[in-house]
Amino acid sequence: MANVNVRKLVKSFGDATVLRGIDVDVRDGEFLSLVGPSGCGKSTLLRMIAGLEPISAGDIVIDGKVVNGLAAKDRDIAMVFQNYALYPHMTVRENMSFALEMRGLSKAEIAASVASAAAILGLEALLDRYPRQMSGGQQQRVAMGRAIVRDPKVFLFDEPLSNLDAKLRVQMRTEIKDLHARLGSTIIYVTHDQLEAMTMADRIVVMRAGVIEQIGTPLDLYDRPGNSFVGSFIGSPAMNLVRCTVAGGDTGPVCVTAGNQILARLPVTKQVAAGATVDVGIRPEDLEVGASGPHAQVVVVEPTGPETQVTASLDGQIVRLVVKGRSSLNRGDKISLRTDSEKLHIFDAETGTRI
Amino acid sequence: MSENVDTDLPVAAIQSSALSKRAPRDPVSLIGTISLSLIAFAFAFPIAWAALTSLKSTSSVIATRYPLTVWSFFPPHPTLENYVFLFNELKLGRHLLNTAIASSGQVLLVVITSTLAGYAFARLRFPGREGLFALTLLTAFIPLEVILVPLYQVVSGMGLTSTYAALFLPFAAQPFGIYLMRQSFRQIPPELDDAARVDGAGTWRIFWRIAMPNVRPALATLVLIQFIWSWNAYLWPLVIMQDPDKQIVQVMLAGLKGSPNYSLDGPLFAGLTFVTVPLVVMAILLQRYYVRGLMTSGIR
Ligand SMILES: Nc1ncnc2c1ncn2[C@@H]1O[C@H](COP(=O)(O)OP(=O)(O)O)[C@@H](O)[C@H]1O
Ligand SMILES: [Mg+2]
Repeated sequence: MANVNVRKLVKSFGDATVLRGIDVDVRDGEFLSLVGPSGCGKSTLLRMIAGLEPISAGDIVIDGKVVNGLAAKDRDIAMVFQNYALYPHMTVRENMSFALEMRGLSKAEIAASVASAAAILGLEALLDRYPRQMSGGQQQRVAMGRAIVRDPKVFLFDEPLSNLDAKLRVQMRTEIKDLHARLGSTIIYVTHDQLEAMTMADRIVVMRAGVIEQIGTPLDLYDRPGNSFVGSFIGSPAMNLVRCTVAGGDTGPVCVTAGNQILARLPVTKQVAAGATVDVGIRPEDLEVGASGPHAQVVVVEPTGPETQVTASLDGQIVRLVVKGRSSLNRGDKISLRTDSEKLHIFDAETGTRI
Repeated sequence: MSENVDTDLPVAAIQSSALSKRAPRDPVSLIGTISLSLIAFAFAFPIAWAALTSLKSTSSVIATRYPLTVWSFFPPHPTLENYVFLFNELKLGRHLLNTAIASSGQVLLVVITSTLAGYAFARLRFPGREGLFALTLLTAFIPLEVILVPLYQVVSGMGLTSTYAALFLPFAAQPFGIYLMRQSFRQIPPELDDAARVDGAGTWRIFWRIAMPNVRPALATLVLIQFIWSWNAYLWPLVIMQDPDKQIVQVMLAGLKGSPNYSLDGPLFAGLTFVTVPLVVMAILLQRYYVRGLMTSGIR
């Protein structure tokens, strides 16, 4: 177990710079999740920490030691790959033994470690199978077994659940979280699925186009997104962003939509000059059908059982609201939207920064 | 244990369904069967003819030439005298051993050079990699006949004339082998290398423990092709091997054709028949692999 510090890390492939100065400190025993859209550089960052990709600039520090020049095999890190990367010509047992063999452990030590890792993951019955003889879920489990058998300083996961079906993914999410609690290990977990990050991580790093947008606990990011990108990336269904102009009202500044409707009062804590353009972020669960307020027209009604998701058009902008229980709304219905101005997130329309 | 996958099952199922389909034969497959039989016959006929002739005594080899009927092909009085003569008088065993030494050396060296170079071209990053590979491929277009004389000068300059090493050393690096191995190494997902590297393996161990076991079909193909090539070599051994005792079997057999004093046609056919045996054995032993090797390299 160890902490990992990434300092001003830069990565270029030829002319293309894919990481532009990444700073992250991963604490000992922490479950840190890297999220961001596809192509934002998550895998590249992970591979650099693993030692699989050379560093263009900056430092990677593991356990207080700069490892920039250290080969992957000497970093004592385990990695679980998206496609599992099990050795096809080896049985599960051999797959799990390989790393220990490379370290020169004795046969007895290897057998003991493999047995205990297999017991933790319930792999005992599969030990003599080849990867091609197992389902995707079993292969995934073996890939994790291959990582934990080594008791490494740090675990790296690169979208390990993205090839599983939805049900298995939810189950494995719980298992990995439980495993982390039991092993107390440092985990850096890459995913493009914000829900995975929200449910599993102690802290989340949100990345976009090679830069870190925000670092924080899941609820931090949810409650106080630092910019409109983080706001709309974290949370499902995504946060509504309504483009508004700030105007002076009878009881203080208000947000006015493109169709000249007053969306809500500007929260009193927010200092915005009248006439400024802002993006008003409203979580779908903070938006309600009310008796009065800006008018919108229902586009789609999607019942999920416990709640109903309603998509409506507000002056040409699509907004989503989540209504508890069943809804009697239909496509084409005119509704009024109500929201609590204290729950609004206000972002500068130009820079996206939280105001 | 419903997910207990038995990999042999689907193959067996396909085979049995193919068998059961055989009864009502449609015209297309009938034509296919007939043309395949004709091709098989065309290939098998000369070999079968040689094998049958090898069982004739030398006098009946000549006698059955005229008049030519279907029965000319069959030995009137089957005998093994040609084989006895071949092994006792012409020391076929000795020459077979020479060929075996040359072929083994050839196969072993080519396997080593092709896998190492193929892996480097497939996986290692170094400047000039693609250019070097293109140059390597170009050498495939230089026929042996063109470089025969300079090659002879080089090898004899090294003092290797009439040694076993001279039979295979000049052909230690084969562009075809390097190409074949490069292609199959490239089919291994790079994540396997990454996983092994993280697991603590260096380049050499990745090559040996991860890459090599996953190219076995291509390796079998390479072994077979090199073995056949070297087993059938003629021109170079004829030139470089001047010690008749160390000469390979093919050159020795060819010498029988021009025997000035009396006909050795019977022993010649016996020898020709006998030297095909190792090739057939080798092909049968390796067919499970090389068929798969050719198939997977086509599909992926
Ligand atoms: N070996 C490489 N050579 C060139 N570009 C690369 C290479 N690996 C990744 N990239 C580029 O770097 C960017 C980030 O990739 P990646 O880290 O895989 O993103 P993510 O994992 O977040 O989806 C992408 O634009 C990708 O095309
Ligand atoms: Mg990725």
